[in-house]
Amino acid sequence: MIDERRFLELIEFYLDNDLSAADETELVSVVERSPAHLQQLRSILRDQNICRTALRGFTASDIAQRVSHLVQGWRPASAASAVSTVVAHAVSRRQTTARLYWIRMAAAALIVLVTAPMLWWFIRGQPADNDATAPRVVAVTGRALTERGTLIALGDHLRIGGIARTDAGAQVALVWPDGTQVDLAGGTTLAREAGTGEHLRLDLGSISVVAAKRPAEEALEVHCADATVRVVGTRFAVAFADGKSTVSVSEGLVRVQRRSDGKSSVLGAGQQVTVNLLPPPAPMLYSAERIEAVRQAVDAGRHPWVDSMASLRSQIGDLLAPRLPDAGDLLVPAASGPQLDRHLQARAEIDQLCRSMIGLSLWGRLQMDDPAATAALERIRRATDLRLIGDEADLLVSDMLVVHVLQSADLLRSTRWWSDQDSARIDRWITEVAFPAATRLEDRRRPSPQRSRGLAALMAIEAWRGNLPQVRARMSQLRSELPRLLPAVSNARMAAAEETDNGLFQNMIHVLLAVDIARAAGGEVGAAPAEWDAAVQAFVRRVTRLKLQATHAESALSSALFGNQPWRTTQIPSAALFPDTHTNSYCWYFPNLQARDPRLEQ
Amino acid sequence: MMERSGHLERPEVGPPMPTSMDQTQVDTLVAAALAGDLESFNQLVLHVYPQLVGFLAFHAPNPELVDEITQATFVAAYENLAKYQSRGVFSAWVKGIGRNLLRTELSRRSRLRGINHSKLESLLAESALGDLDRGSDLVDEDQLSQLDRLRGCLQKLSPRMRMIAERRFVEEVPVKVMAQQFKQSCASLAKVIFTIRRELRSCAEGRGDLT
Repeated sequence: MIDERRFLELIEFYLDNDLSAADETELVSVVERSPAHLQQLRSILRDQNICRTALRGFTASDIAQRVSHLVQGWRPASAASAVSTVVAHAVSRRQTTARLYWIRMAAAALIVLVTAPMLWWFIRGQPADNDATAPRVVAVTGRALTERGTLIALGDHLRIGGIARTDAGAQVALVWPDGTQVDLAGGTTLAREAGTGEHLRLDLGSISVVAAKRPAEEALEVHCADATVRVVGTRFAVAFADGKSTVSVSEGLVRVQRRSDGKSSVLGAGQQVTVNLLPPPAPMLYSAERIEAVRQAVDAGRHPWVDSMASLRSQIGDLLAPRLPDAGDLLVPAASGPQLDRHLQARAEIDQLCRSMIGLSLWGRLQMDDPAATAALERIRRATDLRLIGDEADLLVSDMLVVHVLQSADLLRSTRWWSDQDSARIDRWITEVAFPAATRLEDRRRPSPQRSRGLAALMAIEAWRGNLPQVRARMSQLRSELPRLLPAVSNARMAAAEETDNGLFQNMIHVLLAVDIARAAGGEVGAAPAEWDAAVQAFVRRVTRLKLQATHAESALSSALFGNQPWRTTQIPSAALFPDTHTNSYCWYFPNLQARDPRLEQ
Repeated sequence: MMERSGHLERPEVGPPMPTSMDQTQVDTLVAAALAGDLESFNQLVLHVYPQLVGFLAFHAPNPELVDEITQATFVAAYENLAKYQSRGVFSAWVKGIGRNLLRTELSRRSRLRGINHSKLESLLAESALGDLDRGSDLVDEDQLSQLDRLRGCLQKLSPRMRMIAERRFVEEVPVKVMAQQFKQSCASLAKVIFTIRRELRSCAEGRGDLT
């Protein structure tokens, strides 16, 4: 356990933005291991805020003057861009002032020492009138040079045509007037080029970028020998080495285009790609844009995403806790007769694995959380090591394992946690286990809940493989089978009966999943057919009648069906919606963060 | 400025108390600001500043964020002034903007625990976000008056403690520099600063007198 005085010392260093990397590692390890220390840290920081706010000599009129200056001197296109830029300043200030107190003093000494006139007409001092957008150097550690071999110092401007080179171990931070910040790592050569918007050429090394929001026509572009990264407002890193660029996105969206053939992809936060491997695999359900839309909905406090995220956050500890099932055979007998208990036991074991796998994958991707993503990967590996045997093995492989493993993998593929070995493992598992099981279910002659589960699993598999024509063909098949899957007589029974028609319920929930996969992966955006609408109406009548008496499964389907998206309805009464925002969606294992796409519900 | 007791004398410290305004005055200033009168907007800023900064001081995870969200809030309020409906709740409207901006920023930071971002910042943001989401959105009058009382508590500190407090909280001198000036190790000084903060807080909350 850390000594109290050392802990307090580290906190003061943090307040001064003067934590070394080793200090930060030490402090992080303490507060990660001990919630009490995290609370103490928060409490001390709060006390610092309060003491500073109460005692500091600056006045509200100072703030008013600063605000006046901002709103008078600079009018962005939208309030959002103004605010994001101001906050971008806040971020960059915290990141770059870590060394500034000392750098200011060092820079003062440097300026006295280095007075060669040639420095001033290159990039020193104010930018030329025709280059008012030139970025300023706000932090330098180690040695960095211009292309003329002159030292780069604080306050310099990198004009168009200028080049900055950092020695190994050196760092330079550049800040643009709009708040955009670019950090050059050691051993980097970066040039600023002419053009509409902002053009940087990365010849060697790596940069990380926090880009303020810009109009699309004035986007910031980073050019490497093999690719162009285009961005209108986000945070990302580009590295160029051995003739290949690697782009890692930590916030927002960027478009990466390969120069050789023009192929491009949109990457979202948490994703990375090496340009020679473009394009990354097509998403099954979770495109980068959709994930970003969910993040923005959560950030903006929009319902139900913000509630679902808060609920998921509260469950992360529990999701990490359970013991994973042993690899190898797991018997799944029929769900009846003397083996019923054994069946339920196997189902519970798989359910626990799937819940934690999907919840951790989602949290890991949305929050870019290392422990959650790593734990999710471990569960994916364990799930694909299981060998289900027995009468209902195919059923549980299809409607639990296939759907959850592939969704989890879909969330993590193209991120820094995913490896080629993981892709190979999934492909092998699909070939040997998943595809045969789903095909056996789907091969049943008559439409049935088993057949609809097999069909949904096959669509997930085809989407994962990027076989989009097959996804569309399966969707076409599903449409043709809807009259038999959802017969009018069953609808009438569903609306009136006391007991849930479990078969009909299973059909609806798997159709909904298949429809979403078809739209996300296959671009199938056709309207719902009359049979679906009739089944939904019958279901709405049922839950409207039952309201709070709706079963767990009915509440889950209510929540999955609710919304403005295609194939959904807003007619479901709120009393019938699932009370636990964490677990409602296509099936009762799915967090509704997954089921509802904010882009379709503006 | 005059030198006194080895530190700079300050005629007055701390943010001003809220300026008293009735609904009509607020709405008149809003109308004038909408017509382009920046001075009117500045008066509105002065009016709501104490409540906003008080709220942020209690909820933001670090001092920089208090400053920047304060500034961003007023810029956003200015840009969205036309959307304000004259109901005499201007301060609540502005505070709501501040809360949303803080929430958005905390949410953003909490998920940046990866590439090129401090893990510590993410942990703090996540913790602060959790507190914000659990409620206690509003800074009650007692919390605002704590800020006011705290200034009085400062005067009750011993001269040396007061000097350390002013250096650290007002002038924001880095602890390494202060350690050299006070000829103490950083760890010892950190402990002293911790004690001062705790005692000032305790005094401001009315839980005890300063020793």
